[in-house]
Amino acid sequence: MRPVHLPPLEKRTLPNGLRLFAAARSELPLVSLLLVIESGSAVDPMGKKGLASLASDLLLRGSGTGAPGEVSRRIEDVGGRIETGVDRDRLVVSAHVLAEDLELAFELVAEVAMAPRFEAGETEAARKRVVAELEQSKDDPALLARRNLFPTFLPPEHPYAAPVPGWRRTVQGIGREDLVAFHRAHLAPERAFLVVVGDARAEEVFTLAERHFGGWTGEAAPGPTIPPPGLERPRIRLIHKEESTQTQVRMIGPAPIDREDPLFFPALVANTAFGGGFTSRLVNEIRVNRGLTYSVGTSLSLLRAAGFFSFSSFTKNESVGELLSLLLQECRRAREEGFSPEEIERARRYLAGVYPLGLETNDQVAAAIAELVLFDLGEDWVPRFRERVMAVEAAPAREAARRLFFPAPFGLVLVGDRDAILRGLEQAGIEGDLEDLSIDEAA
Amino acid sequence: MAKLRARALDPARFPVIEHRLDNGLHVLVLSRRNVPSVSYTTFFRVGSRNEEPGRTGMAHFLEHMMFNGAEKYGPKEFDRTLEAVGGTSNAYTSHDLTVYFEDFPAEALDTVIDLESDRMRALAIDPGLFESEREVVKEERRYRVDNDLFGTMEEVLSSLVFRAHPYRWPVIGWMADLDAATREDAYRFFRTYYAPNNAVLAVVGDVDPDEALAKIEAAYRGIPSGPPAPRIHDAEPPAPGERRARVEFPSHTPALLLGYRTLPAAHEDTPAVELLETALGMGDASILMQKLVYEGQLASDVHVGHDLRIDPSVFTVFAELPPEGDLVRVEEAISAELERIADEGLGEAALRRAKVIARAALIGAFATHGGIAHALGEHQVLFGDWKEVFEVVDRYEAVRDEDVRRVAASLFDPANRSVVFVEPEEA
Repeated sequence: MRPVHLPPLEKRTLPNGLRLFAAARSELPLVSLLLVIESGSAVDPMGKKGLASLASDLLLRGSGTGAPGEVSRRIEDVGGRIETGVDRDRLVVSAHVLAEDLELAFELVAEVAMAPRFEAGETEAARKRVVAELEQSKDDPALLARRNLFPTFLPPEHPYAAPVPGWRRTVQGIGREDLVAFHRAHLAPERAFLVVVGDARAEEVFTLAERHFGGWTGEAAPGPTIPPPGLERPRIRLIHKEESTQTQVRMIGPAPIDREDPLFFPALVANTAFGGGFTSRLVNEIRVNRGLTYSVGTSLSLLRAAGFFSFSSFTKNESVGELLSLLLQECRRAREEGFSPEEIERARRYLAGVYPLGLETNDQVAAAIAELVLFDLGEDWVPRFRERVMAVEAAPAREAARRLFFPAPFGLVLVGDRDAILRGLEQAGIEGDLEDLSIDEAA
Repeated sequence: MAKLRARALDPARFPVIEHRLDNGLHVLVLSRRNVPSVSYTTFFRVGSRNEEPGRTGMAHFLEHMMFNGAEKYGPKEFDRTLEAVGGTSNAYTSHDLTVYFEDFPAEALDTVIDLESDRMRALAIDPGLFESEREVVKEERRYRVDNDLFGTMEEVLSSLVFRAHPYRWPVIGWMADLDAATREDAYRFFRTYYAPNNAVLAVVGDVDPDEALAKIEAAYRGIPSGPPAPRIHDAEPPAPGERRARVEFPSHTPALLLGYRTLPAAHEDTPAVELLETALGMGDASILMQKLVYEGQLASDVHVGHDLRIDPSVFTVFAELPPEGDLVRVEEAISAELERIADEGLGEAALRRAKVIARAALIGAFATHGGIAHALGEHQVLFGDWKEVFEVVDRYEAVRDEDVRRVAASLFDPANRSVVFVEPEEA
């Protein structure tokens, strides 16, 4: 396999602490800007869950001296886009423009990050939209299941517990003063970095960054303390949905691994062999051999301060028990026996082979650079990634399976028909603390 | 601006090699060395459009079976072989097309050619896997349609917009037809539509084009061509007037889906329809986002859609409402905007905005090997010539506001409208 490289990365830090990263690629006349603020929904106060997410929505609804929506209009008028987003660890503002509009992108990203107004009328309207979307989520069983995954596994006070957009009841309680305080405490240059990838020279990027972000001031509040996750007994959240003919199934447990752990690459390989690739054991047993589902898989989400391993699938009401039994059986088998040499080899080659596909576009390259910065990974991370995947042996992959594949009490979310779910749990012999939620309580 | 366009999608920068095998397989190869991978995309001119009542969903079901064994690579071997050389695959079926694609490291090219030519030559349908795959497809239908608000509404809309054309049934097929499908149906469908003369192959990425072409020629040339696929007769009569359906769905919020029958992809007014789609719904500053979501606060989100199809397609507007939302007011607000455009056009500023956004989206599609392979193949199949993709920007530029107005007036005629809505059940 030919080695994969990021374009040469130029770095600089502004006097106010904002870190800059520029990677030039000139194949198409496009540029992506990615401003990363290292605070996400994990800093939302109890009772105000959804604050970071609502703030990110409102960044685009009035900033500087422009009318609400002016920023979107100006960038869309030149065929560009500007977006904001939040996850548990960070808030991002990204812009995508033709190279000739680079300065406009800098101006607008800087304005929305530094000078949002959070006007009362716009705040009220945005809050109503979020509440409406949460209402609509009641009709989307997959979304409902996903949003309830962390809350099932973590206690409510855990900073990672709440869904990023919050709950209807907590979003209602967010006022303008909360948004202003969030902005003051977290959107500070020392808490942020800017990645620019595409058809732009580094010197031009640094000059524009100085011009548009040089005046950014403010000190960031300390970040949250994140306790390690874990449960004493399995917790099961049953969300009854009227007239469902299919049940959504999600399971979550801890993945006590970070990117520097010797088990990181073995964990990637084990996850791929188990539920990551299209020829994984779970796909084979649950989908191909038995036709129990259209989609089944596992994934690792290694957040800033804790990692999680999760399972996702769905099946008709009649086969909930069979699917859960198979899942538990396959987890046990993988923990005990690990994988065959052929499975390991296929997973390694698959991971190594598809790796460059995640580094094709400017946005993907910007995201990869952001990952290097956020997790302090070192410049050889990308070029060495494939060889490190290819070096994974069977024994550490089995060790990763032992650690990850639900050896300890898990969280389990089931969205669908109550009777079918209860029958399925009984059939699979799963016991734990059962929360029986109405759809209203789960949104 | 002209200089930039030339630089962005100058055909000279995309030196596609085109070759047609004696058996009719149409091959396009583009060498691109910036990322060390290859995208290999096969388009078959077959979709739910080619099905018959009682056997709906066959095109999509067959797409699933294409991963379940052929002559050389038996059951489960397709993806195992591909993943073992570092590749990944997927496929989709639309109303008009069935498309298979693989992305893989350059050194896996021989394997992928072997895998793809094997299943085009000699699909072998294992009876056991046919039965389990039937259940997989039924789960997919439960997921995408039966338990999904938009999926349910869209299925109803199609049956209102189209009365005679096969576009009236869902690509995934009716549940009872999935139950009734047989292996013999699948084989017959395969034999009828999967001949090389009914396919276009686009290969983009880290390849030597001449070498790749020689290997493709060697692997595929023994596959016999078939008779031309049966022509599809479009008997769709003119719209009889507005059609309206209230869908029963256990929803917590109201939702509204409007549909208007449009034009075939290759029609000269298609660029104007695409600019209407862009102006109305693409971006936060688009017309309907502004009127319905931000200024009017009548809906929480709105989506405008129009897929390009071989025969006249459907232009859709989907509005999601808050729980207390008023369906009548939302429908009036949408109709008012569409009627205004039908009377006055978009205006120069909105038209210019739509053109630059549509142009940027096209350039963005050229950022990946897969994006390029798709754009080439789709233009070959839907417009009859892959080179059309390099004309699209100019065709957008040539659209005048008067063209948009004329097209909007004919499209958004109330008699051409179908309306599907859902109201929350009483608490």
